[in-house]
Amino acid sequence: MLTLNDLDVFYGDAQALWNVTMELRQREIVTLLGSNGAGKTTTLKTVSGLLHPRKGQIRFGDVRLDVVEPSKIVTYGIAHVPEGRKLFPNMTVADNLLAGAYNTESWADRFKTIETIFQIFPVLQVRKKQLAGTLSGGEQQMVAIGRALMSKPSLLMLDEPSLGLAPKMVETIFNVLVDINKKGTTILLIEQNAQIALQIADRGYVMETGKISLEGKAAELMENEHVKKAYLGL
Amino acid sequence: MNNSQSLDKDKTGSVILTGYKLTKTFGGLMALNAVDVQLYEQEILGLIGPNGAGKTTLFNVIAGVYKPDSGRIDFREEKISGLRPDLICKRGIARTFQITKPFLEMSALENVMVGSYFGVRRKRTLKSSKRAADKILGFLRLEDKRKVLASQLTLVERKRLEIARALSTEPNILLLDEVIGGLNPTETIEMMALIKRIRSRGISILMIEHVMKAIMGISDRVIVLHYGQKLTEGNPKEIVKNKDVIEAYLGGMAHAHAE
Repeated sequence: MLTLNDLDVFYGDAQALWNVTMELRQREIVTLLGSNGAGKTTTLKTVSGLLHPRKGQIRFGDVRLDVVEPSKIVTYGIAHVPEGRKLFPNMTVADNLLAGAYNTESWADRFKTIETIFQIFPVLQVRKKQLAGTLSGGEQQMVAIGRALMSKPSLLMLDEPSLGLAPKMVETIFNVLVDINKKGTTILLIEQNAQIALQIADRGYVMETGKISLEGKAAELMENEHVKKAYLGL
Repeated sequence: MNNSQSLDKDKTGSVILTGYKLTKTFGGLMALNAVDVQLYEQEILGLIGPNGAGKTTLFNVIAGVYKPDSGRIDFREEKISGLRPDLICKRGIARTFQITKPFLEMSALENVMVGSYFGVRRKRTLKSSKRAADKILGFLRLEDKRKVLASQLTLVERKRLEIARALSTEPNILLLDEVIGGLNPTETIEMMALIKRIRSRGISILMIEHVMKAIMGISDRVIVLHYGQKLTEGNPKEIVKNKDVIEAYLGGMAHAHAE
């Protein structure tokens, strides 16, 4: 479904990714593990078109992603929950969510979709008329995830969705991810909580200093000594 | 000098900060409802609770960003509630932000110097502010990054810079808002060690965190907020077994922490 082939990505002169190659198959949950600064966020940003590779290609089905703009990429069915939430703080919760349904297909269903978001995160219904900037950190994270779901993506990419969420809410969100995956959405997940990420993932990649250093089935990674020590804290 | 041992609350440890019946509303929403809080000298006090429970609001009320609608805060028996944030900072209360807020186009050193020049009680020369800032960067193991722009730092480095900026104001109390969230296990262990080292310098710490292993591993006591009210407080062992806390906050993961 999604193929990253031999990507080199730079910030100015500083190279952040080296020969990154990975693939996601239809309906998989794939997690990307690695320390801070390893290149995980850069990888996601390159897929959503916020960064362009200097070398290599990204394919999503039949289309090339690395040559088009983010606004176009969203219309292909790719949604990105960015690190740090990145909401529109002076817009209401409802308007932030609706902004996620911007592409034509999901726009038609927006009021139906928003109801399902409110079922997942009831507190957002209570807060729907509040400005997003006035919400607590964790509530803002819920809006960010909800906004991505509003586009009814076939590929959902999440950059640390559990950050700032109460343990019980982390469970809720991971249950939601499993649920929408069952309904057909492919998921690419960055998560510091490697334990929970590997529990729901089919496969995983480990990134270290801008390169893929390890890949495998989630169950195998959980047994890998290096992964255990560095990312599971065992 | 000060030792880093856990405090024996029954015998020692005088109170450094007291909040009485703190209440803060936003429109119709009661963000804090008559919350009492006591922080002891050199204590690490954890603050947990569901998202939207009022944790960051409590920080903002203590730091003077918001005035409480009612209630009062005493710092070493002097009333500080109602003072401007900069004056509260100069009294000795510093805080970090959940999403780090450095001056992006300034170097790490300059960022810390802002605090060591403007945030301290006494008048200082630029030179001595710089010396102080350098020391703090060393303490945070950021000495290699002193000339690097804040915008170029990784998330972990930014979190450490955020703490450096707070420490540069020479606080007696440090408020930490989710400095561990987003770190991997190795980085988490390092951060926990760092927080203990800060406490052993004589600083009292109030910290918000959702990473249970960390907050339960490091706190002397924990306060649980829920819908703006104090649900309960106690030592970590009591908290993880508390049925109300499991119901409101921990969920099914609780059994993993209760051991």
